[in-house]
Amino acid sequence: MVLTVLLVVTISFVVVRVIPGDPAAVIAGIDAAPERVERIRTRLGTDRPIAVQYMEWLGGLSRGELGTSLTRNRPVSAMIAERLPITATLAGSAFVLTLLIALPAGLLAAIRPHGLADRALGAFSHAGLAIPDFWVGIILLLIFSVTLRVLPLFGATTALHYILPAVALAVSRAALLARVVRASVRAELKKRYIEGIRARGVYGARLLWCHVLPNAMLPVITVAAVQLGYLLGGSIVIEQVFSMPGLGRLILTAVFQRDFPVVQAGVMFIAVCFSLINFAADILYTIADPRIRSAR
Amino acid sequence: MSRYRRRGDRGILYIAVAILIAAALSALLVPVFSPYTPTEQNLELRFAPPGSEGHLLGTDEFGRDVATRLAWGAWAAAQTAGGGVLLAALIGVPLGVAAGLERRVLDPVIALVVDAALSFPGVLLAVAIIAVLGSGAVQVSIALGIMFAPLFARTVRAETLSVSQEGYVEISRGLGTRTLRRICMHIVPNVLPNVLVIATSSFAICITIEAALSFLGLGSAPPQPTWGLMLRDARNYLSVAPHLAILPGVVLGLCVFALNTVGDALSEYLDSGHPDTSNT
Repeated sequence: MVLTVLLVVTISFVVVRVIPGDPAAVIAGIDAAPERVERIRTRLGTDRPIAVQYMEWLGGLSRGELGTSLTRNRPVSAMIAERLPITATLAGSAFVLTLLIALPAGLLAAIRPHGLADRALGAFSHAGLAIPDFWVGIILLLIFSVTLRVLPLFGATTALHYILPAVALAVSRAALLARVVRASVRAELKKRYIEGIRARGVYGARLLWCHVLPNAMLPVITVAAVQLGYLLGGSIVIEQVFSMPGLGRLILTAVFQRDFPVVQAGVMFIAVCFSLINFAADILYTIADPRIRSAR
Repeated sequence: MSRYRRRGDRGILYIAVAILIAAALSALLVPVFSPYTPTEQNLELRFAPPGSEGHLLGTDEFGRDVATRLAWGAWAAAQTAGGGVLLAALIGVPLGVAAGLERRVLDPVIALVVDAALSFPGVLLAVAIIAVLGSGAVQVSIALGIMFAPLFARTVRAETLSVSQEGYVEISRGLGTRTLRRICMHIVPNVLPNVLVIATSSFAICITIEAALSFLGLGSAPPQPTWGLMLRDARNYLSVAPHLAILPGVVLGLCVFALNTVGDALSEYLDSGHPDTSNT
């Protein structure tokens, strides 16, 4: 776990700093005076050896410092803290929505294989996997904000602003998760012990709630955690569609402005969150499954 | 796993193949036979709706022919995504074979790098790479290649591991066949079918990501006709010309759906044909 986070931190550093190319020269422009390039290089700290830069980056991280923005001259950590609530709210509501769609849909489809609900889910997941979420966002804007005019167009000032982006993000994630729920419940229903429980006269909803679901949820937890992480990363594109000033937009603006400290810290922040979520899912997994607990 | 044995699913597969053939044909033929070029402007005929005379799918904000631009977009998407998949395979397959054969040092190291690379969700890694390389179609291909290489490495590693434990490979090792020859003769032919399946499904995802990245303005620069850029421009004209937002997404969705379906069928076919290789 610690190793993964350290690697993620390192990769964020390597990608931005070590890939050939001089950030200082890029920032200064093509025909800048050499002294100006040198000045920026000193400010970035890229004139020192890579190993020293790396140790400084790690040292800063341990103190919670992520560097200073080149264009705004502010600590990056403050900028991230400012934008995080928007992205977190968006990802969180999209995640709840994903679960609300995926769990019932997957369950209904699993109870009656090849039934109406199963075929509907099949079509939904095919479509959800093929259609990119940002296009879903654009179409939702077209329908609800431009044509029907019931929801606000751009921005993130009211709760209403979050509805469309959350739906856009949730559709494709739910398509995938519902497939997992379906497969997992199906597999559980085929096991021998279910026959035994049925023989004892437990049927229908009671069988599902008390016996099938707790066991079938295990693979779902893992996949759901990955989905939550992808919601954080995927919000870069959706925030752009809906002009929401979140974390993704911060990173994207920084990319265009060549503000490397912000890109490096923002990317690392999301990736570390993703690793932590997966780690939390592993813990949840052991709590949910007594077999793993006793095996330890 | 007998989904494609049912008749309805076979129908879907035929539809998917038809979509791919249609996409390939229009990507090849429209650039040659269309009376318009993708960047040719006609400011007297802006925002013509689909079905207008001379413009089957209408025109955009500069009066450019949407059908022509979509076909060129297919070409651009195939090039960028194809380049990405090719690069991913070129990086990932050797790493996977190496990790599967040399289990003491290389395997854990490669596994660690793969895990770490996979902990950058979605387009994040690609955005970081493009931040350094600068935006453009080639850069997007490179970013896609780096993004998808771990996927290839992981699958090929598992496959190499199971193949190298097969009796005949063990025997060949016992007979003193050199490692390189063993890789070429036994490992690679066994690994290739699975690489093909992954390549197909990653190609579909790469097309989506390419569109997303050029939508963000990180791919080819305007006036290049790519689906992502078309959607980016269309976002400003939603109320005037909704067809500009709808059409590129529909074409993109159909192509990705078709590739996914063909990829599924391919893996199903390989699974049923070679029961030993299905345990990845």
